[in-house]
Amino acid sequence: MNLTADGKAVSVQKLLPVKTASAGWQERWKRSGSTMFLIMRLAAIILLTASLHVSAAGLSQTVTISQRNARLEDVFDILQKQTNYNFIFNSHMLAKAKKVNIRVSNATVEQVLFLCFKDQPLTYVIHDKTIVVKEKVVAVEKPAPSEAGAPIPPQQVTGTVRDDNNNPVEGAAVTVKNLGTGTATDKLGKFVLNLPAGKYELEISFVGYKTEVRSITVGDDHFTNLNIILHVASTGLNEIVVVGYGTQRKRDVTGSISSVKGEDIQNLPVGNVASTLQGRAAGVDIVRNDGSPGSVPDIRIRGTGTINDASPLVVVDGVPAAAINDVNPNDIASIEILKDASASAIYGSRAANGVLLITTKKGNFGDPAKLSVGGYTGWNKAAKYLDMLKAPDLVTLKKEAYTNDGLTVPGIWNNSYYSTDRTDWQRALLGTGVVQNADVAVRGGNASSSYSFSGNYYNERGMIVNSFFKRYSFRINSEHKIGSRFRIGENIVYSNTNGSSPNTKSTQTGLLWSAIRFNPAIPVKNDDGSWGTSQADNQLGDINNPVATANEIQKYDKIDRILGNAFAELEIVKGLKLRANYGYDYSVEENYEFDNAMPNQTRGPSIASLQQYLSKGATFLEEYFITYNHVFSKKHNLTLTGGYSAQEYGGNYFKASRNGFADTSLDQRVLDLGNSSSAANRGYNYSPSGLQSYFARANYAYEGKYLLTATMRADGSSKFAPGKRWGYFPAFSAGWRVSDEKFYGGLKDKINTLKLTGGWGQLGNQNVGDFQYLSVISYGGGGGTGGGGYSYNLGTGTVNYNGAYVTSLANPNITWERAVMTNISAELGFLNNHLNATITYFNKNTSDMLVPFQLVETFGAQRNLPDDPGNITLPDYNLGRLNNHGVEIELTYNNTVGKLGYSLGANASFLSNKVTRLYGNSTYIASTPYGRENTDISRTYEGQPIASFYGFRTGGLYQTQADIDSDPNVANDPNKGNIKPGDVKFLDISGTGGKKDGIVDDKDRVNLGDPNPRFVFGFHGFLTYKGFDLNFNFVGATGFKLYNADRLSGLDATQVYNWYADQKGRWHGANTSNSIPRLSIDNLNNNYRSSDLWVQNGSYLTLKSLSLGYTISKQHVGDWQLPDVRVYFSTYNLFTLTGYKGYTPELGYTSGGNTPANSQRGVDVAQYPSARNLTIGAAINF
Amino acid sequence: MNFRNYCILSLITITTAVAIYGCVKKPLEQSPTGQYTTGNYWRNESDVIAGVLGIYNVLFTEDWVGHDLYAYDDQSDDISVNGDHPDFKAIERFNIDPTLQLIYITWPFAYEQIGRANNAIIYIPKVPVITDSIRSRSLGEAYFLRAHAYFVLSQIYGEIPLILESNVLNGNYNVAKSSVDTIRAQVESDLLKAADLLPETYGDADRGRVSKGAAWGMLCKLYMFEDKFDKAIEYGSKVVSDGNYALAPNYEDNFMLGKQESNTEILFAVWNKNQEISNVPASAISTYFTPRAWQGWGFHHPTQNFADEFETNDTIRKRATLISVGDTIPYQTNMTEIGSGDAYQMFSGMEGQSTGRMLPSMSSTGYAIRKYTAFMPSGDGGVDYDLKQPILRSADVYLLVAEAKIRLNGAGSGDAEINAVRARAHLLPVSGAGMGQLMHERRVELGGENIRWQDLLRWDKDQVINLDTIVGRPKTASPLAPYNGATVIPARTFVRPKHYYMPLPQEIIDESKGVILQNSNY
Repeated sequence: MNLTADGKAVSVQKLLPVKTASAGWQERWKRSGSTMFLIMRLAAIILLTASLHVSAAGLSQTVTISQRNARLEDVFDILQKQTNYNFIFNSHMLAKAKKVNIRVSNATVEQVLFLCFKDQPLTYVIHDKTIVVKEKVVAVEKPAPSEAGAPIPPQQVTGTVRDDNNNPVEGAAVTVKNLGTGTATDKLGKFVLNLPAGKYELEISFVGYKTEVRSITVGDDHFTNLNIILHVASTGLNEIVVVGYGTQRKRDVTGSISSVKGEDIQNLPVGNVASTLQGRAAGVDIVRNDGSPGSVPDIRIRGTGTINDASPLVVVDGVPAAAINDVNPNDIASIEILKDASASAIYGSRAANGVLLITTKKGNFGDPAKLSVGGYTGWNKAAKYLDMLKAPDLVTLKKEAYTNDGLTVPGIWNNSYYSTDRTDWQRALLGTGVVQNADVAVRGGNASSSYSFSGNYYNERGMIVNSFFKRYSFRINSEHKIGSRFRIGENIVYSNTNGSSPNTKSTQTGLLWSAIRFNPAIPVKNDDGSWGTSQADNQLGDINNPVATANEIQKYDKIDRILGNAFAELEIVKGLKLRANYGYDYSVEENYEFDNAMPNQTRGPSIASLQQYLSKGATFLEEYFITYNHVFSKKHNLTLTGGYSAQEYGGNYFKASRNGFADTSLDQRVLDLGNSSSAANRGYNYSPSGLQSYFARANYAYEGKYLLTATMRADGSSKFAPGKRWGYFPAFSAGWRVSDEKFYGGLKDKINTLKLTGGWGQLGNQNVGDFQYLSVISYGGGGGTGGGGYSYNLGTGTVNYNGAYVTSLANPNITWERAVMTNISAELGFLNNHLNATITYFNKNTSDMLVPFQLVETFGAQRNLPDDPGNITLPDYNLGRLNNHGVEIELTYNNTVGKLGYSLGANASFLSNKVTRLYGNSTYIASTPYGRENTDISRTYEGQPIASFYGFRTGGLYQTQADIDSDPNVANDPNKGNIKPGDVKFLDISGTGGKKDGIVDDKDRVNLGDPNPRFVFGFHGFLTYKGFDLNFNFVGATGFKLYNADRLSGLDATQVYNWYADQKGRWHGANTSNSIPRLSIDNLNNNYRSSDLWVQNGSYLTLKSLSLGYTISKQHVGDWQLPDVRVYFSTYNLFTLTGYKGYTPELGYTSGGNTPANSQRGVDVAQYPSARNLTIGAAINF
Repeated sequence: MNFRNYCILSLITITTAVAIYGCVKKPLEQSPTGQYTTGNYWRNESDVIAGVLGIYNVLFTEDWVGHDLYAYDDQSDDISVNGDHPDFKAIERFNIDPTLQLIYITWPFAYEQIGRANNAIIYIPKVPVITDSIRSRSLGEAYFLRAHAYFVLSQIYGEIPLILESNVLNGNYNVAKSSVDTIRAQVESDLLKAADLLPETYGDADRGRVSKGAAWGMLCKLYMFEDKFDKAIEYGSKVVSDGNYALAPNYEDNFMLGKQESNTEILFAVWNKNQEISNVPASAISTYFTPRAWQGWGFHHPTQNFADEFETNDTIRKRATLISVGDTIPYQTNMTEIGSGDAYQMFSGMEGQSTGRMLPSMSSTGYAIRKYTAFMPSGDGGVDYDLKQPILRSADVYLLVAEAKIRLNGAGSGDAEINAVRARAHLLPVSGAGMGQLMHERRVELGGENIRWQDLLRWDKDQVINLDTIVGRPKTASPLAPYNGATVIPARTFVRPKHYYMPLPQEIIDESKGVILQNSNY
């Protein structure tokens, strides 16, 4: 049948659901008259609404459709493609809709809609370019009581419901409490209600989420649009978590994954993501190494898994990229920490130390553009200063030391100048630091595209002058649906970081080390403006004025980085998706250091020097994977994922330097102006490397109760010899949701949720040096007086010829480090799932751990010879074994009491670490010796925790000569005659046949403690009351020791520097002290050797962050709607409870030189101290 | 789905698969850049030349030939150690234990030279295309340099592990010690091969490489250590009778700038070059022997015992060997303030003035070794590292031949060789010279060249001398003020056979886990 409308031919056929197929069009028009009336009336209402109008032009767009027995959604789809209208509907509602047959050409949208909605239990409204589908709600048609008596037409109330992750919640019930009516949200989370003027309570609820209630006033003067965020109810099990190459409902997860929400870690006054994770998740230990701006802590997941690089793999939006410093913490939507083998096996060879999946914030489809702006400023102050001797006390004690030994007191200590205290060097060096941060973001989307733009500026000025870290970052991402089966998207980040960290770890030039030791009688600057100096006498030490050094060294390290990835996803058939992902990460690092001449300083330098280098690195990633999801017989839910991934790395480096600058003013510090004869340069390529992988995963769930996951990854790495390259990493895990069983029954009231999971798997670590399977021959010239280089001279001229020789030996058998991990976990929900607990036991065995192996030195001269370095680098060998096992507990409690909403979280990890195999019984891996005393502090032995402290046990001080004479420890000691009262009593431990030998010698050195915390915990909470919010995070650790090496050196009477104030409590007569030895320059008893005198308990509890905010919700001022504004005040490191005597108990790793990365931990070398921070800030959401 | 849909679907899938396959790279095929591996080096002649020069390169090393070996000669009566190395002092006083730094540090660099030579010996024969003369010369150099390192090791430590080609190929470095005889047999075999393969002379551009003469000379010395006098005479005579290895006309030419490059007498030397002219390497020997105030470190101070050994008329050798208080050196422009301790000069100058002459404050004995000191002709005061460091000279071989003849055939039979050396020093000939004359001649001719102590040990083992009497005499300083003949090192006690050899480094013993045993007596 044909009809002409607006002069165009329209052919309409409607067969179903009305069986009177032959009924005429006009007839039906009459039958649906009431509907038509409603539509017209609604249109009138909308037109009356100030903020809305129907686009007349839009209605004139024409449509051509031919569909038989089509679902309403499909018709909407077609309409959406042919016009620029979008539909808002709820699929639950559409389920009730009848199928339609329709064939029109060049019809108006209105005509098509009319045909579609005829005889449906649904109706629609057109709102701008959006067609909102709704149920025919009878209540709406009843006019509400009106004071004016005249009926006021209903007003439209719209809203969007989202979850914590900003994802729309589909099917949430929206109930008007007073009326008992309501609707449900559509798949974009949107709903529409038409309500007469009046005051209402809207209740928005959805299974698994906390119910939200909003009071609204419907009047005729404004349009109400609500934005509602539903927070996950205490069960937390319906959360979606990101897993490698996909997402999963948390309730179905069988591996061990901790999630940290972006909102919990925002606006903390730290520059990097790793720092924000401290105390947030069980099994995740954030090891702070250094408090200087831009320094990144180490992340240890489930203990230190290897003596080598034990950092987890960091994956940002699907691209493995380790530069955690370049990610703006405020851009992060969530961080998933994959802890066990089952969860991380999909990342195979790089997952042995865990995986961090960082997901950045995205825009939402169908969301209007939203602008958010935030900023904060904070101030940093040193949290602690060490007590050092004042000048008069120092002079007294120096004299005592010389007098004790019968030595002449050096003249300088009789010079009264040095008895006047002039400078507190720690306070002179450590000023107030400033942290500033600003964020701007615009996010939104339409039905087919979503986008996000964000910019960030972070600026930290350290407490030490010229130390800083700055970051600019810009992030763009978008996603587009092209048709119904194809999506593409991209994520591009540009970041520019610029930083300068002062040297605070050296015991020659470290700034803090120097400040602690610099003579307090010396002024920062002399009266003539020159820097105060220790040059006057070698009793003042060979150290530079640290304030001068900090001021005269100008340096920066600038990194420009582009990290981009693009993906395309095709849904081949329903449930089967193919995805391609390409990533490119390119960074350029520019390093500049100008060391100005300081000829009046003891260590100089006498002439200025400039050194610059440029380093470039790039990695390219390509990945293709298929995901298939299907539910069989409504019971069997199967998801298969499989794919291919390849990644390549490469880069190069070059460097140039000159010294001798005639003009050292700030604007003349360029290489060209240095002495040209001093020019030096070098350059090389970084070793390229590549990784090629195949992976597959199957997730199976039976009735949602029985869960299975199997994963397999095959990884090939160019770091190993052909034949040793491929590693295979399988993992299995299973879960049982016991509480979903029928027999569980009554127990459900007590333990609402009970889920048990267990898993086993193998992982790999390829974070090792490149090309160790090859014997490298270096070729070139060079060498100076005393050797080095490669060249040799011949003949009579000045000619020098290049030479070549082997510079590294090969280990052709080198291969993956492996970790085998077992995981058993229980998830429990109590108190109506307000309280949730996860308890996990894990056992992780690292095998084939690569360790430096000391070949007998008949191969040549090793590169790290103690005195003069040789030429040959030795490869590592897959020899070591390591075990980490422990228990992790995570607790969360969420509830609302009246207007008080609160959520508390606590986590704890109990961890035990032991090296189970090394080279043999009494062999060990050495670490960097400490300081001027060259103290051998940390050793890694078979059978002991990694990097344990090592030295002598002591039994106090000898108080009298009789104590010495009768001491069995030194009964046969040839040094006995040198010991005097006030010296340390070192204990004799070794001997033969159970009999001690009565000699204190090297054999008596023993393990003095473990620097790896046995117990790490965090306790955090979030409370809201009306507009106020309070957020706190406590972190702590216990069950470990720290080695206060700085104190050792600060009390060492043989050191010519200033001493710790505790030196006043030294032994100076019987029973004056039992811990601080007598002052002796000769130190014949070697009182300051490595011993338990310097080992202290490291336990601490810190209030890491505390913030108090107040949010002013959207207010109207006249016609203006003001944005949400949250203002807040926060502190970082407000206080630390600890018995440890140094700056901070968070000391981190201090391995240096050629020693393995994790061979030294918890040794106090006067690292840059932690700062106490106060911050104020505001966040504005438009 | 109908047939058409299947077709479309298949087409999409195939297209995608092909597109993906086209993009897939081969990420595992990576190789190092900017450096070679044993797999891709040793391709051609220039690789071989550089590979052999790489062996010579280790000679510069301060901890090895470039200086530290000379510290062992401080055990002799000629020189006393100074400076801040306690291990040198311990060794001089026979307070020797296996943990001393010098005992350790000598070892790895000796094996470094052996390792580099082993690689060359493995790969040079396999290089496909190369000039025959270059191949044999290069192989000869490798054999010579391996022999040199083993010979030195056997002199210092005695029994040591023997690491040869197969050890390198199998990565098997933990092997037990071999006897001194086995080591010497290996040295002999390598030197014989080298003598065959090496050319007799080189053109100007290649001066500094070892020649046949170097191999013959080294063989002669080896046979003396083995008491094979006839063989020593056989190979030493090849040097003595070959004009290509003639003694230099002037004794000092062996140690003088500009006179060394074309010097036929220098059979083997560390070929240093001037660093101020071009950025080239040099050994550190000048630094260690030049007085501190003259830009050196002044580690080794010759004793009065040694100075007394020179015949009154032997001014040429004495002046070329010793710097005495009051002496000057050409181009030496560093000025030193005359202090109160220097106020006994036998030259003009007063306290407070500055002088370029050697002052008492520069030496504990009144002397310094002259042979490794030269200054920049530019007069800028810098030490001139152009000075080559001779390791084997023809004069040494002449005297070894003379000794072999005397010990084989009796006094007088070595007169010809002794007198050739004496004549060059402008001294009258001797006749009927026995071992006493020979030992005197070696001491003054080769003084300061790290030869004396090994000579003494060799003679003591053969009971030609009694070392007790030599080390039992204190080392003394100059009889002149301010030294007044003071004792620098008191009488020492030599313990036989313990002190014939150093202990093996404790590190090596530990690393070997029982495979390498410590020398007996330690």
